[in-house]
Amino acid sequence: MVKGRGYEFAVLCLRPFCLPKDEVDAWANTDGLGDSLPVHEVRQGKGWDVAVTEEGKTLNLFPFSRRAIVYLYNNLLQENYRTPRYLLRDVVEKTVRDALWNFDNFPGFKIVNTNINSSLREAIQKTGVSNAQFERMYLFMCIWGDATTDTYQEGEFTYISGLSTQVYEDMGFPLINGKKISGKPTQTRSVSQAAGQASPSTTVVKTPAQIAAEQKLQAERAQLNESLQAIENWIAGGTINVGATTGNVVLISKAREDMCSYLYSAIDWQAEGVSMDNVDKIKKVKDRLVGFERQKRGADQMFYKLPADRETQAVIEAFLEWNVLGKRSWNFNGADRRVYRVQLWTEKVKRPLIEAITTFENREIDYFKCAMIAEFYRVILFGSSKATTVEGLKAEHILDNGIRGLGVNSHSDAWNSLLNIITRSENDKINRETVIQYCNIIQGESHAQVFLDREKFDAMVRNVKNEKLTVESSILDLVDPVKPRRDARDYLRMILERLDKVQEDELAKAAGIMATIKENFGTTDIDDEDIEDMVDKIVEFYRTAEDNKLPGKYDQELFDEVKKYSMSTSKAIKEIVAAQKTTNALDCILAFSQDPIRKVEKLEQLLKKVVVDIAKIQAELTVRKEKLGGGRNPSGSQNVFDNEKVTISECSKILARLEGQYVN
Amino acid sequence: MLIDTLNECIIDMKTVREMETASADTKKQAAADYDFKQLVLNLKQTINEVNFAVENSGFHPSANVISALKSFLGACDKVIQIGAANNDTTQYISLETKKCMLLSDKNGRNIIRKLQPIR
Repeated sequence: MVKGRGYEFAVLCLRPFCLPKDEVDAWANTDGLGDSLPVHEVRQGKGWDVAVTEEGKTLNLFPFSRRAIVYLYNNLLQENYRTPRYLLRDVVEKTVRDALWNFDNFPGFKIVNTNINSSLREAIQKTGVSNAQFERMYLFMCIWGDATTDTYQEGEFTYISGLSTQVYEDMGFPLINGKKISGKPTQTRSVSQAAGQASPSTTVVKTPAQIAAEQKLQAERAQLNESLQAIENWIAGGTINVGATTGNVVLISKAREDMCSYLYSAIDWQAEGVSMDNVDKIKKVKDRLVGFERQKRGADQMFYKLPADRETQAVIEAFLEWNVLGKRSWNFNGADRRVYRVQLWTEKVKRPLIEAITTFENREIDYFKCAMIAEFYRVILFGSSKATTVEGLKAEHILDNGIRGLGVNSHSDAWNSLLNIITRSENDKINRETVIQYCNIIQGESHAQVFLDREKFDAMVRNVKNEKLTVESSILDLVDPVKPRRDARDYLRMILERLDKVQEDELAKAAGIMATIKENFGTTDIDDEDIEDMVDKIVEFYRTAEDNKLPGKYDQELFDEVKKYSMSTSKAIKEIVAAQKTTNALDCILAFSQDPIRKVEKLEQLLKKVVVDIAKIQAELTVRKEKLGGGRNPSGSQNVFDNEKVTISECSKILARLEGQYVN
Repeated sequence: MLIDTLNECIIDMKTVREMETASADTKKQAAADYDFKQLVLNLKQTINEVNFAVENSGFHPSANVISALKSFLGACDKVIQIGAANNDTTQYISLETKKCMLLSDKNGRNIIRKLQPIR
């Protein structure tokens, strides 16, 4: 119905609001034709848009404009309700009532604006109006006016955006500094419409490739317009389905990614005191640097929520245009203005953004501290640090000691289990990387030069040492929203939770060895000479056993080793004694960190071997003594030849008799 | 303390070794004594046979035989006086006794066999 001059019906409908009832009734009761249409005297709405009837009568359209009537008809009424009845009820009456009773806030009813022009918004903002006034003025100029900044003179009136300055005065709007043009434009159209329209047809014959390119461009610009409209709707209170991969949201989603990429590169994080390690970790998570208020998906997956306001809209539009019009560059009309806008916005969001990525749970991020504590524990547990007290720990113990494999050691099972956990899935490498990278200062675009901020690093070392490599469990239980940062926290928790068990098992293992030493030496306060004397005696024992062909292997290698390392063994025994006197897990594992048990183990092995061999030899000696008659003199009886003595005597007598009787 | 236990064990080992060394010598002597005792028994049998032959067949042993036998008895008596036999002595007497009994038989017959036809 409302096509061309179709707004005339609405104009006619306005008559009853402008004239006395009698006058209207009289006109209706006579012929009701246009020729006899009564025209009211304009008391309110002077300078507002007018309509000229076919009969040549000029009718003031206050509080409408011709554009407003057409727009409201198309946008307030659903397609099946575009009838005179609904036009009268839902457009004319609604608007007039609003103007009559709520003119200060007119237009105060909800109208979805599809005539978008960012230049017009900026022009209005430059007038310094309040946010509420801005929204009202922008809506009015887009719906009642032509949504441009065009300014021209016609007759006694100056027109801005197709509306006379009188209208702005009536509405209480300031006048924008618009773009001056020579006269009334012959055809007005919104920027969005203009963006969507193809260039005027020419007679030049185009190649299929050119036609395809043009069609593609048109499709892109149509998509851009849809996106701009979606943003406008969002500003008006709607939601935004950013993240979806269909429809007009694709470009907006892309714009959000571009905004994040831009912020990552535009902000000099290091100059702002933000570690690049933190920035790198944030880049790895699905949470985005910025997101939108009232976005449907992932409302909690962002570090900084951009408010649904005109500034955000301008920035999003800038990135939409950067992508579509500039083909991912700032090479398009009006880009300089967009760049300026984005730069202003960048400075504005920088502080809250930095705060968002450097804090969580209302406290400064502390993942680096956790990582450093964990790294110190790794260095201690692997024995890489020679320190046996917290005070002895130094920055160099971290900086100079790289990742180590498990290797052979004599620690308890719990200790080795913890070492396994520390190195599982390269957690040790990842954590160390965090510690090293956090204080690095990177220079050059391609990270060509990296310097360690030693002052900062040393300060952190002092800090964690002062806190005895511990973190309160209530703080450790806080959940850092950034997983790579949270990993450092979890890594430390995993270590701290196992320290008591490690201490317990290590002390138990040491107790066994020390019991053997005390049992055999009579004391644990032994020096290297005591050990050497013991070895000498043991060697004599085995040599004697060997001479007697008694059991017990003479292990020269073991004897030599124990004797050779008697001094370090003695020292290790003293370390174990000191460890047994510690009162907390950290001091205990520090005391055991150089694996003193391993240094004492050879001595223990020797002592155990000797004890076993003594038992065997003593048993053998008992058997052999039994064989010797229980220790009696083995030389036997002294009267062994008594019988023979008698025999010899008898034989001598026989021979004597034979000799006397018969020998010649 | 282990070092004391080691000392005790070392002394014990040395003592047993001395005892075992001594024990080994005694066994050797016992064997020599046994051989000596057999020698004395053999010598007694020889003298008894000579005596039997004299008493029953008028056989008269030579003075050398009697002297040799007396010498053998004297050597045995010395061994008895020492209280310990030695293999060398025993083997010597045993060998010499056999030689002596063959001396008087210049025709290739020993005394015992010579006497047998008479009996």
